[in-house]
Amino acid sequence: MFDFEVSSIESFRNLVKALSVIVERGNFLVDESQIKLVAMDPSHVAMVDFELPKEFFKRYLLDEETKLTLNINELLKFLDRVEKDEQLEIKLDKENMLLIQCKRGGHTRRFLMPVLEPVDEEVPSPNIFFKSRARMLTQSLRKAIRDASLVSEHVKLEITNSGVKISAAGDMGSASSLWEKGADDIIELKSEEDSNATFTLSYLQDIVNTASVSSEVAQLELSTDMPIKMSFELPQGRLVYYLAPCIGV
Amino acid sequence: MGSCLDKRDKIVLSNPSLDEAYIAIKSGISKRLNLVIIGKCVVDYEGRASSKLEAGERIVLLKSDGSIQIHRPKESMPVNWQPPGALFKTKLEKDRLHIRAYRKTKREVLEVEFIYILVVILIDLTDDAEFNLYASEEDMKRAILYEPSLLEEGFKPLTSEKKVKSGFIDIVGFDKNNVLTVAEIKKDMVNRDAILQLKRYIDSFNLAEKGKIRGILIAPRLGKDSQRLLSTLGFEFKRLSPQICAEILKKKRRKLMTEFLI
Repeated sequence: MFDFEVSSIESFRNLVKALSVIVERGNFLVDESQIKLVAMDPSHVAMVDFELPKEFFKRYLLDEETKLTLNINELLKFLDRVEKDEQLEIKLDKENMLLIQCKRGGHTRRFLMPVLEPVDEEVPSPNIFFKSRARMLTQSLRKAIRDASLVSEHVKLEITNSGVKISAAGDMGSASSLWEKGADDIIELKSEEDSNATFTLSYLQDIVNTASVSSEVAQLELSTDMPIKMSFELPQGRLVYYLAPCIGV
Repeated sequence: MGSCLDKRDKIVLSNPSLDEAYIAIKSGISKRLNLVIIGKCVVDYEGRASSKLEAGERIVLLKSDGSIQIHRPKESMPVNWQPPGALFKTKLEKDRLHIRAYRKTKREVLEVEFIYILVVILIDLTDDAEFNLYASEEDMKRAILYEPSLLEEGFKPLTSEKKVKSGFIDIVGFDKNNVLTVAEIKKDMVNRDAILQLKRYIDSFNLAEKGKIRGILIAPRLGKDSQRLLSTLGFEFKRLSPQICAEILKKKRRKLMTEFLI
């Protein structure tokens, strides 16, 4: 049993949307300090590591640690119906139904959605040593990936001590964005070894598009032909994605 | 106007007059060539419904099987078409070149009226290749070797294309109980010939082994009259579609996060 009141429906909805691009069925762990989700997408190409601390909520009441399995797209459908100025409460009732309650000026709307059978899926942590790291503005990253989507289904990311490059090429042409070290959009840059890897653009685009709504700055960590780690910095909480590379495309 | 001819029937007319285009198109249709006509035209259709497409520059394809398609400069699908077997009638009338495609069985008429023509290509094309929509037997085999659980959980491939007296066995391996397993792949259907082929392969193993060998036929479907022979010989059928195999092969180039987890 738990009873939460969400302080900002917009922020909450955006975060759930960011999870929905990777996860269909989310196994959340709700404990006294936070809500946590570590999950892989059904094709095991991408992974998300998400935490939302209790401080994000106006009210965070919990009987005991709870595992909560939800269809995230279904949850999002209900959250999409909540209006900005409504007070949003989320509760787990005794019948194991999730109650989404919106209140405004004496009017209450209630949505009930089923909690799914929990799946015992322990997702271990990736074991990767990253050679390069860049912190950059999320919007710049989003624009560069959108540019790349005009010409290819794959995108190449390169981080070196001299800068960050995002590029793509196809029969229809090529697109690239290059930020030199010291560029306005690059907040931090460190590379022990020149690193590059190629990724499926649709995954990257979905992740960056949805996460960029919640985050101003993203940290990219990369090693050649290894998964990329993308940490989207949030005012509260943690939103980290890993995406496996494509080799020989 | 320019034209080129080589040993095969091929004519390319650039900016022909309607008279020149008329002669070329008429002869091309009569010789059952493939025709590409690009020009400004109006299209009328009468049949199950009726339609009129006002004048515009379009690509008209007349294929050697008597089908016609009219493509606009955008979109993948034709805006008008007639399936194979249409009858064509070409004529010059009131400074326009008309190509009329008539489909007898449905009483449908498609009429393309050219105002001017930019290009006409007439060409005799040869294409006898088999069209494999998803994957060949070779691709299916590669997919199983890459992802042996496609055959069954716990299957461990040992070798492929193993040479035996009667030919080459697609896949030889061990199942989860370590039983020697011989698999023959067909991309369409398992028929009696395929079952007998598998029998010949298994017969080529020595007698001591034979009793313990599993024979599996892998295909998208099992022929109606084949079930009894399959059971009589003690073989098994594993349904597997070439489409799934093609998807597996496509994924092969994409790494998975699970490869990088602790």
